[in-house]
Amino acid sequence: MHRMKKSEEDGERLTAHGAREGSEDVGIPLDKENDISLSNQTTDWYDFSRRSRQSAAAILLILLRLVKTLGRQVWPILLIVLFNPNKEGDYFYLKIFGGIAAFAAVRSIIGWFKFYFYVENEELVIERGVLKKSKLNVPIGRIQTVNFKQNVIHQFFNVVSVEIDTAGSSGNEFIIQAISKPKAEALRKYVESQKKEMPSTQKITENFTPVEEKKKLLLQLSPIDLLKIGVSQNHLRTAGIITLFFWSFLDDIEQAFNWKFLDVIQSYFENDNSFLTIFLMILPFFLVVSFILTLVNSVLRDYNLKFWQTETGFKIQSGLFNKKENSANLDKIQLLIWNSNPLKRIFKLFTLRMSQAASKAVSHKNSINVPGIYATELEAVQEVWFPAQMHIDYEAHNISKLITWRKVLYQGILPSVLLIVFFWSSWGWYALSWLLLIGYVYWWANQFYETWIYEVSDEGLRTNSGVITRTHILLHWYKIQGVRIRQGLYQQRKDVADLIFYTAAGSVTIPYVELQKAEILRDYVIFKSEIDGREWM
Amino acid sequence: MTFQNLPVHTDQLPRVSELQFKQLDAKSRTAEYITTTILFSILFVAVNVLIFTLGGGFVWWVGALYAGWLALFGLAMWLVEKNYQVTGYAIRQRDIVFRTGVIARSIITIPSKRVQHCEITEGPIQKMFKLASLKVFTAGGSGSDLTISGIQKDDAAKIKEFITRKIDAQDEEE
Repeated sequence: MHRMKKSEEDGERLTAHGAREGSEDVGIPLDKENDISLSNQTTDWYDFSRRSRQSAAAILLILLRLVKTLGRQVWPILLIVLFNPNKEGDYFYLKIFGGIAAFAAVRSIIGWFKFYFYVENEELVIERGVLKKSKLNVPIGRIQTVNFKQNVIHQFFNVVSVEIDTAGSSGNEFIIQAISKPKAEALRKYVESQKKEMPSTQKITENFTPVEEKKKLLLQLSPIDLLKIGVSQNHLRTAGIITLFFWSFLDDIEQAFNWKFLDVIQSYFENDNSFLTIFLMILPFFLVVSFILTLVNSVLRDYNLKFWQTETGFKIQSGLFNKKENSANLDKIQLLIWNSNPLKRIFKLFTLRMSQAASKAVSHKNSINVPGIYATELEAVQEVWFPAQMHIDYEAHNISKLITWRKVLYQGILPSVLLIVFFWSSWGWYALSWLLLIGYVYWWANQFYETWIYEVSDEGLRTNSGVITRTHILLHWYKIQGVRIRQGLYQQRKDVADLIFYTAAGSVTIPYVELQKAEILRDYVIFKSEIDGREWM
Repeated sequence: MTFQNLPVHTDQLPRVSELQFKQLDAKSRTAEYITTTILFSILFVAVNVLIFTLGGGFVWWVGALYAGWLALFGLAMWLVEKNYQVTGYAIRQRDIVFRTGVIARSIITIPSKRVQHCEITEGPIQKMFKLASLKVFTAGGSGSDLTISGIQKDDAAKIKEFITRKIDAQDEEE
């Protein structure tokens, strides 16, 4: 930072150079750094502390993009205007269109004049906006990547668009439409040099250097494991997809085969007059087809799956035709989620997901998914990510029983009353059989309440929930980046609340916690997160 | 004590529930009233255009449209007032607490060092009152982001400065 500002003075540059050469003895490879300093001497330094605009080529790029978007919106009108013999009336639309286009063009040109970027107090600052002004500060240490993009026009003017990505919420945090290529490169080098000065970010940069790493194989799926995983998938979902697919193409199929599906069903009904027969005929067919499809799909996807523990985290590789490799950094993993369904419980299998911090809100490609893992390996993973958790006390807590009654009311009593009213005219007294729904919902809601257990320790949280699919989540308190207590009207009356823990890769909600408990836990967790100095992502 | 196994005495921790929340700037309520009025004026014109195009004269649905407009306008104004009453923030030494929600209430606490960056924006009507919105961004999903909309511009800048200093201090610590 300092060096950059005063770089015009020769003396400063020399001392900076000297310092670098000094550090060469320590054995840090500095080839790239020397390159920068060489280019510093040939090209002029860019003073990033001065407010500067984008390259003038940006105006052209912005206008072209405007024409493109406008064109996409109004091409039907343009067609009418061009090919309509009755020109008189249509000039009206043309004028409106022209007016809008001119306004947008003027606005984008003013926008170019109002767009500034500069570096101030180790933050990259972007000022923009014509009517609504905004100023965006990004600490340079928080910048994750600086990417360049060039289209044909960019190449013609030798400019690049710069995408600066932080770990923030909305993807690419900001884009500088066009600045000259050397300037962009200088900016990137500047950001990188600033980051290197901060030891905390060194860890991150290390991960990008492809060094041959030591790794320990945690899990390799055998063909039998694959079969188990395939069998224990959610076949109902596949059946649903098949059904949808089938119905949407029903017309085409009927035409292609000159065969009326519904007629066939009708004829069965007439012959036998029983719904059950049809049902019993179609059901096994669907089950077999969906079973085979999920099995094939999961075998293709998880073929020869290998799961390693590496020096920095975990790595997974699988696939028969499409090979996929994914790795997760221990720091970046925010949540460990594993679950089992009844079939998986028979095979003693779990699926495991490790959610990683990423810039995009919902990015599943950034989390590691292990489709099948046994208890011992699962424990090993937990041991690596949360070494303390095996040795500390967890205190189990139930959520509030009130949740059962709420669920019975909204998912049992109300629907069953509506159904009774709806079916009353056709079913008569039989419509009252919908009351059985209440009983079922009560059973289910009670199961939900009983299985929902959260375990609290001084280092982290473990949750267990779910009636059919049982989900377990493990998280570190120090990775928490926000806690919310939320209460609907009923919850306000009853002094219960939903407690939500946010991490950089998703949140965990504990429903219906007694308000007093929720508040104590919130205060404690915030305290834990604030006093902990560990790198969390 | 509710949690038996936590090593710190939980009743000695700083409590969010005992905080004095700071309300938004009183002028922000006026700004919101103006915005709502402008919005409903436009809606009023639209309603009149609709009535005119469908053929004037006073029939029952014309009255219903006006009544509906009035009811919605009243509701919106009531929500503005209610929202002003409920919304509050507190900047503590190490975190930001923000309370919102007219019907469903929500209080979120974000440690300052987990903040990624802050942004100050000013809408055209906010500008008239020298007001601003402060947006606080965290990593990952937008669930834990928050926007304090309608505080004095100077205050927004001060809070932003305060939080940003905390972020930087955190970076240097490590």
